Amino acid sequence: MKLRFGVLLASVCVFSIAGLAQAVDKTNTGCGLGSIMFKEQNGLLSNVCAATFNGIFGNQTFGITSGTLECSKPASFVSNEKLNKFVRENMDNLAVDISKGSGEYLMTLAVLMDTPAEERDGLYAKPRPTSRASTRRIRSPTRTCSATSSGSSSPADPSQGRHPTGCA
Amino acid sequence: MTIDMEGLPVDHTPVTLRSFQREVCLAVSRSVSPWILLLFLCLIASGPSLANDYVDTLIGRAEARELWNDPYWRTLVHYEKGLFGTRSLVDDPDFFASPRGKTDPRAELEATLRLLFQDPAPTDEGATGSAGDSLKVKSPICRFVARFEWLTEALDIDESRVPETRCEPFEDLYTAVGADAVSLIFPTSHMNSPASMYGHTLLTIGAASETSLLSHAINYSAVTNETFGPLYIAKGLLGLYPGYFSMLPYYAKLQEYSDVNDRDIWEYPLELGREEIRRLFLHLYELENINSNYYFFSQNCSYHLLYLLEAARPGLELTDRFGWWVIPLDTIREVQSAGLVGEPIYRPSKSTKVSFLAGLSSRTERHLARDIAKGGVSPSEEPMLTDDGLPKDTRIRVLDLAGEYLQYIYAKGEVEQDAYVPRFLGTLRARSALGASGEWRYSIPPPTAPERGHRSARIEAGTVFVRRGPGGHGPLDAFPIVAIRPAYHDLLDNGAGFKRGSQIVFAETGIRYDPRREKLRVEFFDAIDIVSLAPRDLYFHHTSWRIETGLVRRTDRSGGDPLVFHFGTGFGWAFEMPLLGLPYLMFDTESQFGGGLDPNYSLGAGGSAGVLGDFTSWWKFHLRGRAMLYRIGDEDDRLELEAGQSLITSTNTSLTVEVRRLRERDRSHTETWVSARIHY
Repeated sequence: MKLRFGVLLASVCVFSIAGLAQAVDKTNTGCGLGSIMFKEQNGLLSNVCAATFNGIFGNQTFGITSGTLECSKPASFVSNEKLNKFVRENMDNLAVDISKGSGEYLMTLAVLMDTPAEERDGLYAKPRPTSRASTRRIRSPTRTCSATSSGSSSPADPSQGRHPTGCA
Repeated sequence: MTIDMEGLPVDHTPVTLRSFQREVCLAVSRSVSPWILLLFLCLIASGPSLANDYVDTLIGRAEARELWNDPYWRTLVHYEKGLFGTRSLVDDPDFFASPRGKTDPRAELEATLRLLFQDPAPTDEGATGSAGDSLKVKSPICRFVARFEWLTEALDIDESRVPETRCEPFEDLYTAVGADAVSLIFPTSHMNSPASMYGHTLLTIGAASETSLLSHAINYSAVTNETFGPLYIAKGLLGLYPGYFSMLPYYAKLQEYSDVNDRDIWEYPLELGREEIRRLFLHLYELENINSNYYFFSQNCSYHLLYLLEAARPGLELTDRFGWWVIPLDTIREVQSAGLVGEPIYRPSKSTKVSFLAGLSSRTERHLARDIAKGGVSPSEEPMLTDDGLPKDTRIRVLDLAGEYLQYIYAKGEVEQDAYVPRFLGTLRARSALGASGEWRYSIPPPTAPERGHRSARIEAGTVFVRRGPGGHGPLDAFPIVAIRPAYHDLLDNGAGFKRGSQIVFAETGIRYDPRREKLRVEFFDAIDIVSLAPRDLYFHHTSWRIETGLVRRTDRSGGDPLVFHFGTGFGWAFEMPLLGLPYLMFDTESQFGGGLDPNYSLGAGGSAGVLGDFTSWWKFHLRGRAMLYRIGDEDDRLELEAGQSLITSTNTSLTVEVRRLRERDRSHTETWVSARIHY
């Protein structure tokens, strides 16, 4: 039962990944990261995914190899793949940093995007959505996204995060 | 058993000419016609008699030096000397090259050498365990990549004569992880979980960069689906769970600990060189999918991590320093005294951030932030959040607090996703309109680092003065007393480095001497005594609780005080009060069993109220009153009033006075304990 639930969620996560990969490509051509962050607001979904994976994998073995960020990808794709994975799995915390214009998650993003230190302030300032127009754009996909995941997702259940060790 | 979540191709084994030939041989020799010729070819190809000679030479060299007694070999195979001779702590047959490898370091060394000179084709040898699937694709060099590098150096192996000298999947992984910085990670205890109070450690490994979020967490943990509490604990104590190493992105671990479990994290950078980190990683790779029986208290998460550090730096002896009892925090101290640890870095959890920001805010601001997070107030419509309302800095803080708290309650499942998304975005939007805040505003001052708190074991020596008789005015007796406990922390101990309001006592034994009768007797035995006082406030609705079991002295009907076994629980609330500390109220139950009772059991319920005063670093007090009514079995009423205080004289020493007034069986007596306590 739990496994089936996990598979369902995993597939939802994969969908959101596909959407995001395209979005991030746009970022690289200069469309602004914030809009993506807010447009693809299934970061919340990504949180659920993360919590669920914790629950499932917490009860299973987990290889050394399979737990890495990108080990089997050709070197030239490494950075992009890492970036996608980081963004989709840390969307909530990243969104918080973006709203403040500073923070560890935002800095990590800059590192992943190979932004030189002197250009980072510009990057940090850019993504903040300020106008009402962007607000409206943000909302509609969010609803769609929540609808996709409703029924399958429960909020991050603290018990799922429980680690099965004596010294946990 | 391996979950290949990323769909990685598993088979990296290069097909060498020789293995190709063997496959052809097996396929064709079943067919009829030119089989004699082919068989002959096969014999030539797979009969590496020259290689065999070379292995014999190497084994000869190893024998001459008794290389199997080398400490590094013992580290690599996890050998320990025990009551029944040398044994490896690894329980997975796949980890050994020789069937006798678990108990025979010499046989294992020889078999490893022979295996490394064998045909590098996928081999079924040894692949009998549950993780066999992944091993079938691991070539000998990949199975024993750390052993090979060490043996090559120790025996001066000519690499041109080894069939395969490089494990490509390992090299890929090593490059991908960018292994040039390692940290030891200690997530502090989680308020309401007794298992976590014991602590946990893991490692991170990654590129030396300005952010640690991209490093990988290396974690050793037990694998189980057992959810039934008592069985879970019992099996863990008996080593009935397999333990495995795993690797995850560190940010995933942070989400688990920091965002969901409310655990602050300490990161201790380890001063290891690149070569050392490579050795650590080589050994980790050998342990992929290899299980060792997991024992909660001894061979646990923290203990097994030490092997990786020993593998990193030959000559390091960490595992030898622990016996039956491995406390994660003590392993950090060991690693520190081995000179490996740099200045620790503090990473506050989500709930710590919320508490910190709330502490900076006025009552109105706290309510406003909570209402935003709970959905009662919309940030875009609230007049206090406009330019005519609160000052800008205050608005920034209120919105940041609201955002953090909203994430917190979402992680706790207190808000549905459908409601969370628009609320979260609305809050962030309002926040981002106010511009950057500067992180300095939120730099939370780190508390005392856990390893700088008092040590885990404690010895106490002092005197108990007992006054019995009607109204407690009888003669005064004095008894010298000694108490010893292996772990960990109680409410009156020096609180620096420990979670506030938490107590976890394991196996404390008190022995009292009676000078008149010239006799020693066990005064008490606290098998487990855990208290968690978690204050409730506007943001957090914690339930405080306690659980204790062990042997205690109780007054019986004839006025004696026999030992009885007891098991008690309590649930209630604690609050934070300025100038007072933590007052609390609890509903308690207790079961007692023993020959001194009539009948030999009694069950009761009642309540307790108390206050823990801990607002200075050098003085603590604890006042408590408890009334218990035993109505099943041996009936009695019991009333306790207790006042304890402790003068903290240094990190590891304190002077304590506790006065206890007890009324049971309609008799009263007063006990005064005066003692000195030393943590060691």
